[in-house]
Amino acid sequence: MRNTFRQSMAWLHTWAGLIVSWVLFAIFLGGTLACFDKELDYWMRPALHQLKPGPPSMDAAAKTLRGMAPNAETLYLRPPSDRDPSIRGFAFEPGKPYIDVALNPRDGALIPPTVGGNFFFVLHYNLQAGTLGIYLVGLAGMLMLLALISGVIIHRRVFKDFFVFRPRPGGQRAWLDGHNLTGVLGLPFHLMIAYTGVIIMMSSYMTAGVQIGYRGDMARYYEALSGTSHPVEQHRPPRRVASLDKILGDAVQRLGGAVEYLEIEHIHDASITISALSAGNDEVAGGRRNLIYDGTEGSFRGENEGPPTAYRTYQFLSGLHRVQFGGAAIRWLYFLLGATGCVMLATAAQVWIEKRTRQVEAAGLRSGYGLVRALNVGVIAGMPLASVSLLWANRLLPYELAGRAGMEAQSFCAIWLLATIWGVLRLRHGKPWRDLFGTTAALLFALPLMNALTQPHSSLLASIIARDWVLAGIDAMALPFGLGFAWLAWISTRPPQLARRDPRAAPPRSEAVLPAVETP
Amino acid sequence: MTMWLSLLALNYLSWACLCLAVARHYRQHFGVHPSPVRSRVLRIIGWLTTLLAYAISVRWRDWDIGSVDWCASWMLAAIAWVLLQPYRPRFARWLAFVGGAASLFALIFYPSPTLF
Amino acid sequence: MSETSSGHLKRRTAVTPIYRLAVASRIIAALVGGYLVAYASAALLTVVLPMSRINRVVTASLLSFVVWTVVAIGVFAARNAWRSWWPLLAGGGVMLVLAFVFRNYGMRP
Repeated sequence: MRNTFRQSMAWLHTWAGLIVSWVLFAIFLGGTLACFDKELDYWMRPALHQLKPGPPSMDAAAKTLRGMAPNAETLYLRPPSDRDPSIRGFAFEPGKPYIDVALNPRDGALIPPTVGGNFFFVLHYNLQAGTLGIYLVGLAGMLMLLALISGVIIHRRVFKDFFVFRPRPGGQRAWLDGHNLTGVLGLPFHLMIAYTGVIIMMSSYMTAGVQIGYRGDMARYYEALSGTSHPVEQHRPPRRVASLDKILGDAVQRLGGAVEYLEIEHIHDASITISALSAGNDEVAGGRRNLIYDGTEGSFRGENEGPPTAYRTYQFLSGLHRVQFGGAAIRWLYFLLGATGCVMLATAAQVWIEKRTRQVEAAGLRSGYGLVRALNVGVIAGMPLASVSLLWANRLLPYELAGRAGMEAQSFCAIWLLATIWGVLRLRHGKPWRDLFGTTAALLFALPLMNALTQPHSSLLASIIARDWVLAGIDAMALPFGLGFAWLAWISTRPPQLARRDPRAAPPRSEAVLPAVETP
Repeated sequence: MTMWLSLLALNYLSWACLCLAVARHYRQHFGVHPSPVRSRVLRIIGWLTTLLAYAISVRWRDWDIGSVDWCASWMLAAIAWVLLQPYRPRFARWLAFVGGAASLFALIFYPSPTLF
Repeated sequence: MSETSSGHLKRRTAVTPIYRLAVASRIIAALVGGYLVAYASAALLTVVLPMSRINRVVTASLLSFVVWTVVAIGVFAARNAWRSWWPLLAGGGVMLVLAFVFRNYGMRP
């Protein structure tokens, strides 16, 4: 522990930062890729590519979903959008796993399952580890806030060094500059994303309010949030079920915009009610209007009163994080800012090791330092490799295979594990960073070709001809990202710099005096 | 697309000006110390340009999305300038000038229908 | 603060068992103690905020994470690892008791 405020904040920044860095990198990587989760969902479902144009059939989709979940009381159907032309169905049957399927928009047929780009979204919010994962991610978010604030406190030259980046001749100063610039220049984003990320799941993390205000009755709490009251059961089956397609058409007209999903409540009862929630892609907080329809006649009953103010604030904060507004451009910017966060974490890991070069070399690999190095290479170099492998697994696993979605997830984990093992084995004498980044680059370069060979109608050429820009975009992006990883592999081959106190390197006249090393 | 490029270009120009207003960086680029007047002028232009970018952004896509658009492009433009500056200082300056001029030209003579 | 040739700052305090316990104390105080204070603040805010019930609950929850962050920073900034427990326990305790005493008022619509 240190004696002054600044020293203790430096300690906190270093250690809170280090402990959380690997988990946070996985969260950041997942989140960054999840900016395009629906586009990746689409790419990973070749059955949807080259569809004949035509109106979607929500009724056919509802029939399929009911068949899959006959005991479910409530069904959700998401109509096609420009990011994903499938109809998505969600249902929950008590005692069974949650159903999340993609359905063919023409005939409601089930599309062969895949984890989709949604895999990265789930990885992002619970590290694919269920409820425990949600709490781990929340903790990581809080530690990130501590690391950010302590980082701001200790960076006393934040304005003097605002524009400073000294990449030549490399070494610890270059890495620290890189860490500072990605941290400082992206600070509004990092602070926002950390805080909003934590509060999205605040009902799980902080139950005090509901305990006091609603005596722990979560159902009443959610009802108060949504501003709707649920229909009262009539205990008899419905005469008929209204046409969802007609309701969807009417809802789109009334909203003057897209519908996020149709919710069909009390599907087996005469009180069946269908709600259409507006997508609200023109607002950060998302759609606030919820249209209610009678489930037997299909007649419009009215709108619910809309969310209470504080909940609208929550929706705004949540919307800021999830970036489902404003089109593809803003999601690209979030993608780049998320990548900036990944760079911030990776440069921090590099700085931590480089500041302790002597101790690291002396301790060898079977030490705490060795563990840090192993985790660094396994997570920072291994996870991107595993992520690209997921796309490969999607194309290579046969579509008729049962449980293929689970196998895709398993292949991600297997590749990540193999990459980490390789990285650890090669740490002593090899260049594991180069190997892993290089393999990622190779897989990216080969992706469009592999795609064309396995699913010719999904290939880059076919999608360009069909003007399917979402599909083409994924393959097209493989090249620049491949180049990026190839560059990373190349800089990993350069010998480590020990240019910290080289007396022969006189600083240029116009440069300020080398600042004192800032953190322990 | 034009609006996005304009936002990024104006924010990039803003950061270039704010950076060059700092004596240390002015010296790195031009080899001489800037006069206090020049520094102040650069700083004012820098702040005004980004303010203009914010005004355009909010007018284009409303307060909430417009603020997010501006803030994201503000941060990325800063990162672009800081990364480019040590490798290609002349190109970085040229890009700021040309980008800023082009976007102002586009905004004046080809304004987006949603702007005015 | 002296610097070695590798730029590493030499620590002033040795890594003794007491030091490790002090660090552990701060960590637990920041995470667990901080969470308790945040929980208590959310509970009390749900009672006292001048809004409708649902708005009180949501606002109190949103603010609690700010409280937690501030408390955690404070724990690490405190001069003494052990003395930082008292304000946490006292403050958190008082807020929690008040919130539960006035619980019915906290349930007003």
